[in-house]
Amino acid sequence: MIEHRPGFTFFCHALLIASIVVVAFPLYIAFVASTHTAGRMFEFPLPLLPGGEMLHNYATVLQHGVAGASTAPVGRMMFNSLVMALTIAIGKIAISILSAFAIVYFRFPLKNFFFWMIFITLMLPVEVRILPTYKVVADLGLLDTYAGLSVPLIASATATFLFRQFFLTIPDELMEAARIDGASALRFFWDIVLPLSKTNMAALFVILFIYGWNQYLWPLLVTTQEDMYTVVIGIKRMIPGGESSVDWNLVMATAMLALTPPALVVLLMQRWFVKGLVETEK
Amino acid sequence: MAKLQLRNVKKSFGNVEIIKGVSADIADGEFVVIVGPSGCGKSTLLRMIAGLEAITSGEILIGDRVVNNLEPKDRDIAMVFQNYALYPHMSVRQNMAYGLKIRGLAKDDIETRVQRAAKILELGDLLARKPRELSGGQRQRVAMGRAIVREPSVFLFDEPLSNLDAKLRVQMRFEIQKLHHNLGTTSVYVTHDQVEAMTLAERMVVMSAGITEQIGSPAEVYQRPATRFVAGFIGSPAMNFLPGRADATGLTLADGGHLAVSVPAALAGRELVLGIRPEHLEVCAPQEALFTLQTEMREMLGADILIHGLFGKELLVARLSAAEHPAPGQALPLRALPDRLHWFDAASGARLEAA
Amino acid sequence: MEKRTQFPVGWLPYALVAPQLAITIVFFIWPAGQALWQSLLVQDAFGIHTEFVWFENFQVLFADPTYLESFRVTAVFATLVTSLGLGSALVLAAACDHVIRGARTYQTLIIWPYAVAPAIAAVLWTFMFNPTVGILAYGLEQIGYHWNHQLNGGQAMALIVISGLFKLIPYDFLFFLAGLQSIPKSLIEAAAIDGAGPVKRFLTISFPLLSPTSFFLLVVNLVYAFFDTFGIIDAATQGGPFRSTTVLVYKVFQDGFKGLDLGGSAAQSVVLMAIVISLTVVQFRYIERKVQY
Repeated sequence: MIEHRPGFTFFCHALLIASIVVVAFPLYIAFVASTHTAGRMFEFPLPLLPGGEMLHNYATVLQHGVAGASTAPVGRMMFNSLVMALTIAIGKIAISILSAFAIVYFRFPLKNFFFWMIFITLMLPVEVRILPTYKVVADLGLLDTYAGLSVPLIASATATFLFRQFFLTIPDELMEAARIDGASALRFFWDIVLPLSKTNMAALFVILFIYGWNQYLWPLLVTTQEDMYTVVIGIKRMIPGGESSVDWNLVMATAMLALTPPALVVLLMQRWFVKGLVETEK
Repeated sequence: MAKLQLRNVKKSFGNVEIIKGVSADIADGEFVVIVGPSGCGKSTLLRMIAGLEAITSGEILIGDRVVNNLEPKDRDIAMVFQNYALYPHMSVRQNMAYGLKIRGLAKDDIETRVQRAAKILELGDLLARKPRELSGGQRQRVAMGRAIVREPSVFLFDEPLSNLDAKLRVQMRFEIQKLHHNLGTTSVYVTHDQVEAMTLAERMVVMSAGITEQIGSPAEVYQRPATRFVAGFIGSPAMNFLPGRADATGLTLADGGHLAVSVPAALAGRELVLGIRPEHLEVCAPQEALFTLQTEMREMLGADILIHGLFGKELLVARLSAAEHPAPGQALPLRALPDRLHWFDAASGARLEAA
Repeated sequence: MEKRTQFPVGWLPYALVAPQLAITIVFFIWPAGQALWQSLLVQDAFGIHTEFVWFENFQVLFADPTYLESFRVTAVFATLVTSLGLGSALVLAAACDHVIRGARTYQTLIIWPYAVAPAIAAVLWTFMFNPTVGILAYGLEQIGYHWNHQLNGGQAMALIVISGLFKLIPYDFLFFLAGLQSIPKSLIEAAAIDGAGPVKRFLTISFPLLSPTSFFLLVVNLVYAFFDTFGIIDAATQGGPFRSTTVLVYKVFQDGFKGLDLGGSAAQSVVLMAIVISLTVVQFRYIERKVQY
């Protein structure tokens, strides 16, 4: 600290604490709601402290889902989300690192053309090509499959760029030394490039897992069967338009379950999360 | 072990010719240093020998094989890089063993070789460490270790000492010499540092702008530089050059100054450049002097002193014993022995022999 | 940019890029081309008869008051989300950069909402503001303000803005904090010696030095507001009431999937593509400039 200004520092602390409270408040209220009976939600004053129905509510949604809502058990939907998030994260990392390796370490005809094709995907988020992409997936018979949920989201220019940037920082001499040592391109990739990319892969994994888990529009389009819903879209189906009979306690329990895995990933892998976030967007 | 031959080797990037036809024969077991200023193509040449750059035309032979189209791994060479190029995630042992592992050597065999190299280079205690845990000098040794375990026919060194501090550089120079003495492997060593070149080389190749200016032993290169470029590049401080026209009375400089020097008869009437090394100038009586230097500045080196001064408009340097210390502004009569004078053609820069 | 030496070329590099290219072509380039093509066609309700109509779909689109209204809604939403997001994130980052004790903890507690899916954030806030069971709606009622975002378009907009900020503020905060931390301490100290207090230092030194970060975030925030907020709208308001929260991406979905207007939806897709492309170009020109520094 440059000078001593206790008043200003106190103000900063107060501001930060206040904002943290504001941000945490909905989470807390959701948690409180998830520990009461459905009826308690409609009694005043509204509950501000946890009730005793926590285990019952969570067990109910995990095993049976929400009565009246057309969804699968939340356990099943969490599993779908997990499969989708993992497939997207791992798949994206795998295909991006391979194509980045080809682009950086080989000079081959059509390379620039390929590079631009990959680059263009930056400009085509799923929101702008909803119908035709849906049609492609439908024609391929991939509706209501894990492949349909994840494969179309696997191509990404950002991950390819990240790896490309990273590869360019690896000294040229490392590849030359490996060639003199007799390593083929694949051997060099496997023995040298992959181990050196570990932290980048971890950072990317955190970001992509969150990205995959939190997908909304795409699963909404490609899933029609309840047992293929992901938890993020499932929760919305639990709130029908006329909110007459919403079991808010169960909906909030589902919300807590839906946000816990990515939140845990951020908290437990914060270092990689920050790295991944700052670097993928550069 | 093998001899190495370059036959009119050329390299172009697009329309730009980087190497303009280099030929050299390097004998089995010889230690050859390629030296030149940065950008002269010496590193490119080395990388062509290694197989990291394609050869535009000409031939490279290792042993009796033309290796132009062989992959680096098939050329039976090992290379030490300027930045060491150690695999950062591997231990010292793994770094040295990697090439052998790829070659499919037996585990025991690999271990024996690694241990032997580690012993030669005194790396025994460091085998389990990662490169980032090593000092610059230690990394340098590991890089050499990685080359040694391969037991190649030819060692290639690409400015291996430039990343070290001055003291370590001197020490590593000794070690490389010792190593070569013990192993006797044909070695090609690239550097821009003429001291390194002079001290290490059995023979040196002086390059400039993609051509070889001279190939010879350090003594030859120093005593009889083949071109004005070599004369100026090798030796520190650099040789003094006095361009002028030769006649029976001596050399007349462009600014009208006259040097009473006995010009060899064969060279009379030509545009010449006279070269004199600073260390070959000595103080003499005024009547014996080749020229008189107007002292401008002195640099004390310890045993010697450098005197910078003007002769006419030419800025010249003399390296004298520290006992001489003329004051700035003082006129200093200097001479040099006739056999210490070098003559170059003014236009081509080629050395002209007196006889 | 590439390495100065390369591995010998055979089939390998093609095999390495093949998976990514295949997915890119099948799921990105082909559908985008389809959207372009369909935007020039009109199809009858049964999909039997198709007619090529040049730019008629676009003419119809820009003559459609609901589409223009959707543009206006999107602009309002993007402006609110972006300005509030950048502003509050900057203040929080500056505060976090100023305090020494607990800075790390504050950072953790501020960034976690990034992990929450926009749709889930919308569900949480919708619950809080629910006119019957929501604690905030109840609180507002107590002080005499009637909240019902299912009927009041302005309140619905406020709800989606708040939900949108939930993910955006942590993101902006992280970048601003990284930017502030990369400002050399000596600069701040020099300003302090010149007699500038912390607020003055922030305004005259830190903030100008953050301008590249701010510009970058502005573009990213706009992209987010335009394209990543579908889940929020669908979960919180479904575009209502009375289309007051129907942003462009939501309208494409509505017209295409619910309204089955292929040509119109495709034309909207093309307009959206034009927006993304221009934002991307702006972003890249900025990055190029940054590289030159």
